[in-house]
Amino acid sequence: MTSLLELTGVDKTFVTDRGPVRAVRRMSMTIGEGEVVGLVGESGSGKSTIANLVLGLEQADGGRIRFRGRDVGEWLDDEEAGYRQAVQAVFQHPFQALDSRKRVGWLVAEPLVIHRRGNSRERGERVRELMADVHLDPSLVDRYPHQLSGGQAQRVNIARALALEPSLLVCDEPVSALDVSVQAQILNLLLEINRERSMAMLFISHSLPVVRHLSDRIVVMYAGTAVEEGPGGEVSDRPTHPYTQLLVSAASVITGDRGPGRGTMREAIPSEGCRFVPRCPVAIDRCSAEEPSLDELQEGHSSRCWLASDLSRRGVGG
Amino acid sequence: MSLLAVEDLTVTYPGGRRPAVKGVSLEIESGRTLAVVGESGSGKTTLALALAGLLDRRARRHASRLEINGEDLLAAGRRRWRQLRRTDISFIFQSPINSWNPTRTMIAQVRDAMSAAGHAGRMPELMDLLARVGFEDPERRLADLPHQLSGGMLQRVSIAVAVIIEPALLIADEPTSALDSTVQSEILAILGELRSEADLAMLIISHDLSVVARVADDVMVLYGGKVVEQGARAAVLGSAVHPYTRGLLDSVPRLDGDRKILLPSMEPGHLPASGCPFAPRCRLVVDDCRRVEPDLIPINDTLAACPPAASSALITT
Repeated sequence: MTSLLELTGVDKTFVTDRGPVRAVRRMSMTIGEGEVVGLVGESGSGKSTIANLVLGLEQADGGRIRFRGRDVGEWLDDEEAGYRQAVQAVFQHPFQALDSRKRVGWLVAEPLVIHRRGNSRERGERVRELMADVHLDPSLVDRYPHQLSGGQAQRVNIARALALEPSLLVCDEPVSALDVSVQAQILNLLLEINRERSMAMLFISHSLPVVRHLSDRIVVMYAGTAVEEGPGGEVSDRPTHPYTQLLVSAASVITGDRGPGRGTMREAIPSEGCRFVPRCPVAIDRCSAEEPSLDELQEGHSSRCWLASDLSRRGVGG
Repeated sequence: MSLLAVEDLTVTYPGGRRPAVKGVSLEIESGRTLAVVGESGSGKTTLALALAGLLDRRARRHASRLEINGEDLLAAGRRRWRQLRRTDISFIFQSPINSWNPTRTMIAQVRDAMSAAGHAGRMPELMDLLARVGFEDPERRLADLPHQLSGGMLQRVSIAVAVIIEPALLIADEPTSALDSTVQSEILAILGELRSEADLAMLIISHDLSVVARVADDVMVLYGGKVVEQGARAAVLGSAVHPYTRGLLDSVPRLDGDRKILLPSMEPGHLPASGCPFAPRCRLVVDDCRRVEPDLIPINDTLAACPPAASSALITT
């Protein structure tokens, strides 16, 4: 698969009242044409910063982000190049992303107006097509956002994102604010879009089962960097990093036992060695002294853990 | 004897086409947890507010029985409810950051809560409890303002304060929905542990069946203000018969599920003015469902308000 988006050694540090925070550290990952890559991690892991960097909403301090082989910064400087059309986004809160004073028809047409696509009759036609594509009833075209359900509002956001036929859709927690049955609907829709248009997606979520449902490949992020990466089934069925194993055991097992115990909560993430050490059930001395690199265990499946090959043999909870 | 007993509770808001909660009956014994499952608009939050005497003044409440600890509360006034909430009923809310005043330190707010409940002298015990649930050096951390603590830490403080005043009833409204999945399971484990130690009755409200699976003894599924199915945890999660419960269970993405099998279609619709509230979305719907509001009947291992499910259960078993 040719790579559409490539992050190499990306760094991003934010300056806060309490000193600098390294949100993203030497992060590398790729997304192929038409590929769905799930990025999973907890609050503060840096996953939303990755979305913002890819969208050009933040600038990286180091490393490179390339889209179709060309630096994202260059794409953005060259307004004619169309990066903002090629890469679109859907965010977590469906209503916050919509102007409450505009009707659905206007909202879906807005990207077409901004990028001067078609005349008003053609745009009207395109709005109807887009609404049909995301399974929105045509009668909703004159509604205001507050007259929509959360699921309908998120469909409007998806229709807006599709309007310019992007090659990459960045979805940052697109279903976490929705009810369970509506979540399922939106996930179905995203799958359908990926299949029918072979549109690549960067799908970001804190929930491993949600990511697993959609993704060809999964990247697990912890404390600003990738700790495990591999094909969706491999990562969730045979996790090799202790953090991924924790995510798997925390995942919903509805009819099974009551899940893992409470473990230990530590707020401080160490500034050297493996960042997961304070929460790790298997850490050895070497882990605090030296941070492991992201090494391939078998083709396409990598892990940032000194003990990864042992853990992959033992499996979850071993 | 049940710690909490409610019979035929109906709550109507002015201008509402249907009651927000209709004919709900439930009982919880000390040491047991009842999970109320429902999505937006199911009436689950109205139910919780009614049980804590926190309904909006304009809401109309009817019930044939409402008892906590054997005390009849049908006629209880605002003052009695306020007392109960200080000493007998604790609440944990969904959004940890909105539960605390952003301009005051945590320690000041925690002290206020403790003295309001008449437990000002038990601050050292609270610190011990916080240490037990994962706070290193709780006194130092509580000197912070709420925004300086993570959601998981704030929720730990809420739980510790809610439990240490030794309430009879703990109502937790979506206590983990705003948290990461690993933090979620930690918080649920803490809740479960403290609940069994304190032997209190817990009502947990959630739309998330994986949460319910971890903490509940009994489960009640609400749809459109009505109980559509109820039973023991294993029965509801393992052999539910109501089409809504089944749909909810099938909607949850699972790690062991086949990838890219589409989840079932369950887009919410408008609630009908009469008949079964779920009828417009239901795959088992028959004409009667639109006319007659079904009552709970025993089907297999649960109680479910669905006559068509009863007949198909007869055929399949």
